[in-house]
Amino acid sequence: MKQIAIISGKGGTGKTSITSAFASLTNNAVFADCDVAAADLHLIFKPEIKETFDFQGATKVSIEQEDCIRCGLCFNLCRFDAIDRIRNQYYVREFSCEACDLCRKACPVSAINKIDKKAGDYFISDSRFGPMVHSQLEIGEELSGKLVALIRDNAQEIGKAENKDFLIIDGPPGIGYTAIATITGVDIALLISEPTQSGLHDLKRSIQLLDKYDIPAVVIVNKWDLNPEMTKMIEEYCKTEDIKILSKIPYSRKFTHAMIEQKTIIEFAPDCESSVLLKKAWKELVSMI
Amino acid sequence: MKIAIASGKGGTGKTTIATNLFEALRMQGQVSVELIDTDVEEPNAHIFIGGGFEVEPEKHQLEVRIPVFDSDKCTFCGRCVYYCEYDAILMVKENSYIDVTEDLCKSCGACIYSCNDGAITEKKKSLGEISVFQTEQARFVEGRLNIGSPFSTPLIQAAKAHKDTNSISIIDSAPGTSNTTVESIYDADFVVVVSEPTPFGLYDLKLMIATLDHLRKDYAVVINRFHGEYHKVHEYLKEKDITLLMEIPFKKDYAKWYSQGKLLVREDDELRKEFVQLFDKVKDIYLQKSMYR
Repeated sequence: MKQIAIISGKGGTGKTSITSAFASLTNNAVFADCDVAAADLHLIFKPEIKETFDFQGATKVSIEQEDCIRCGLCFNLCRFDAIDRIRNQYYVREFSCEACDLCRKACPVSAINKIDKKAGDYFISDSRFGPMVHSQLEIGEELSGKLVALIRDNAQEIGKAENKDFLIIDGPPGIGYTAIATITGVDIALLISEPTQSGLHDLKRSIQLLDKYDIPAVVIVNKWDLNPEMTKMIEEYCKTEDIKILSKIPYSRKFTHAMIEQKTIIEFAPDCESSVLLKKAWKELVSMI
Repeated sequence: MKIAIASGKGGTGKTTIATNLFEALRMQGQVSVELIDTDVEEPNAHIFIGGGFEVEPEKHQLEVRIPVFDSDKCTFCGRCVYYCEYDAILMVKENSYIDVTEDLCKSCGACIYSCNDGAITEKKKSLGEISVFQTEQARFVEGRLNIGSPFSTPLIQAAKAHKDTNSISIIDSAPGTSNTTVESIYDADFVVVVSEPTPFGLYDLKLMIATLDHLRKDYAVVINRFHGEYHKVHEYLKEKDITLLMEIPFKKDYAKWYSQGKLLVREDDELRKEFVQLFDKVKDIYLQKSMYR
């Protein structure tokens, strides 16, 4: 089974629209929505959830005020500024807590407890394109590489058990931990870029990240005709980096219209220019891995 | 006053709103204003406002500490391995081997605290960089995460720590509704949520609103790139009684200027006035709400 990650440096370039287009073009794939911060693939896939699992996430802590002797050790040890001191009482600022657990282990009177808090759910589902694994994080929860790894592992297992040809991963924007967890070990990463200064800037950062982890990359420039000169700059940059431009897709309202009808662009307008180009791109992508 | 610009979905126009609001206020010249880019994974604000800041920035490396093991002093007791919650320490007792996997280490200091043998020291490693640009009229602060750094919240905190308390601070935040976004908007006085009129935009907007309600923040919404064909975001705002601050239509000119790294308010005077009005509305809502606090 070959693994394809679809990512982008910048958000909103069309990752999910292109992932779902490819879903229409293969009948033997399993899908993973690893954009855990803004998981939207299910809006097109309309999956039927088969199994739901709790995602525990990182174990955070809270301070039992009755037991606390106000020694301030936790406050001094915490390197994440995650402990607030308010009128000589200590509180955990949950959003800043990186769950290192040092304060709890170090507390001389064991006044700090772990909180078993669900950080979200992840789902194994069926869809008209095949099985998919996706998730829903609770608000403010840590963008977790662990959750991405869980989603990928589950999708991989399903793919192997059902003899799938492809694992197609809808990835996150950015270059952080979730992006790293999405790309490690995939056969190829498809970067979706757009012809804007921001698009090029972020594309460069993504390519550096892929380079660091030695992942082969190809690029699709989406909405290329919104700025042909910028598209040219992206092409030139990719040439110097020896990265293939798989396709250039023109700006089209049809992507939004398809989204509104909860369809892929291939389902919505199979013969439109974007669909034709994406069919060709998919064929070529498959031939490369 | 600190105004955070946020969005559930990426690519809806956070940076567009943040940079153009900043520029509109700077051009108007009535308030002292600064922009803080806390979207540290992909900081893009500089592309748009860079031209106004042709000064050498003051740069600060954000350094974290990572452990260095002295295998001669180490007794391979395993305490540090037990203390490390990130599985970042690899120890093979039989071979007297111990080292850290830097990409997993979050620099919490638990290992060095746990060691009874004095076998751990620390070295510095850069997580990212804070740049502070200052001209007579305005300030711009950018946090930029190094590629391959495993976490970003300290950098977001550090970027915000460079704020000037006498200015109106506009904070460009990380997309999403997770911990990094919350870190960006945690201490904001008001949040401007940028949404796009698509099903994805609406879905992610709802998550953002739930997050802001949970944080008890005051907020209002800007709809960007409105084509006049998908009205469900408007309907949702009406139903929830959420203020719509501004609606920016989709225009090919705007898309072109954006793609060239140009500020819309420098090209379109009407839009510039609308951004100043947006600020006045935000200020009014903020003042009204703070009277009841």
